[in-house]
Amino acid sequence: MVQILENKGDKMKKQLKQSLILVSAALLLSACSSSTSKMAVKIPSYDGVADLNVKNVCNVEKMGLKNVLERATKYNALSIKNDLEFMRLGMRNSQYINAINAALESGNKSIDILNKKKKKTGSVSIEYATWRACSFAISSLTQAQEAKTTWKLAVPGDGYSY
Amino acid sequence: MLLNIVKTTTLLILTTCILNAENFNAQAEKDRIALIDYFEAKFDDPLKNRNTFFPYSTDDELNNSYVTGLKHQDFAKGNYAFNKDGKAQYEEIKEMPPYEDDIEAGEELYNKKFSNGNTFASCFPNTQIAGDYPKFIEEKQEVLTLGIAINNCLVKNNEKKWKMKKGNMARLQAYFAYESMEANKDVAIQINSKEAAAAYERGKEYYYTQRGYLKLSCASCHIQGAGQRVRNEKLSQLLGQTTHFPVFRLKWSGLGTLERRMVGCIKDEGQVPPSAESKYMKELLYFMSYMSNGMKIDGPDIRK
Repeated sequence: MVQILENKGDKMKKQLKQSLILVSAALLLSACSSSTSKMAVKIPSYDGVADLNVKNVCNVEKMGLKNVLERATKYNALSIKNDLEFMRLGMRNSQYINAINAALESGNKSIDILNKKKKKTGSVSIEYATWRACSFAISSLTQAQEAKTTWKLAVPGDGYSY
Repeated sequence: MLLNIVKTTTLLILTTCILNAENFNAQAEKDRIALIDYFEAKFDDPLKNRNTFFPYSTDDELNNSYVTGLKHQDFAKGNYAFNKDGKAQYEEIKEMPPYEDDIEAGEELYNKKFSNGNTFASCFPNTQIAGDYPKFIEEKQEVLTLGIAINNCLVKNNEKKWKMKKGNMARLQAYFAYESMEANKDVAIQINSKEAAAAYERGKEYYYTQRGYLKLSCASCHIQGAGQRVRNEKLSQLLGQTTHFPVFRLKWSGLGTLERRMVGCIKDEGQVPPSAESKYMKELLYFMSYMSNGMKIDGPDIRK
């Protein structure tokens, strides 16, 4: 009789252990799933961009038009690659850059602003267009970097309180 | 005894599984409820809450232009929920809705045979589906919008894809929206996995991220700015924004999909918009639609 009771006790202990393991595993799974919302979104980094001061590095008078244009081309390529390219008055930043290059080749002093139907809606000097292209290219990247820490400040129930 | 232990364990596992399933949308639900609270507070009494929500508005505006005491379901009407003048104009136009022909055309498209003899019914046997999209497809690990599902159906039946923003695409979606509205359907977006929750989070981040040369986020206008006047129009609120698409926009003189509207909004922020079929766009719409969960489908509709 005692032997039977001992056997039953062992069996129960074993089953209890198994149950505990199963419950622990299930709870662990639950914890894993609830941490989904805290998953980090990959933060892109654009080497050295954060240190650039557009007012200085895109200053055409100070830095020279060709240098500024070169900088605009370099950073705008990065901007396009990261789906961050700016546009204004219906023109993409890359269109400004292409138009400046064409104007430099042809000797024009200004570029045309074209809407999506390629109709001229205005014109700006190549100096101004170069400043714009450079500041747009760099700002698109610095802004995206800043946004990685600021976007939550606008979320009701998270960083935004009223 | 043994049976009891097995029963208890099974019950515990089942409960945990159910809890798990619910947990995937825990953050999204928290966001949605916080959003409802925010808009209910904002539009409870704009005059009384001027300092918090409408610092630039005049007494006259706050006294006479806003409907007060709005509750969750009221927001399904977009900015016509609170905008007295806008609503009066909207109701006048609704007497002769300019999109009626589009719904009929959409129904014809739905029933029209493809060259292989099939119809859209082979992919969409149920037409009351406007509130079910976008959905996260676990096998493909990506968000599927209604527009892409329609194009997938066309390709599957050896037909050419449609453009995502207007034309036949908007017409067929108008028919689905109308059928869903008539059946009293709600927006019912699902988040059933860790990956779906991650897609939702990326869409949310896109919505709240400042972009373009104007450094505006979608939220600048449609959360913090919602209800405020820009020129002569009041900005609509995120809550309920997806319930009524596709819309006949007076500016477009025609019908357009939600993707078309979002492309316009992102351009207005001063950034080259993502394509209507891009991952950015799909996840953005997934987030936006989830925020309208539980609200009645009310499309197609008219907007300025």
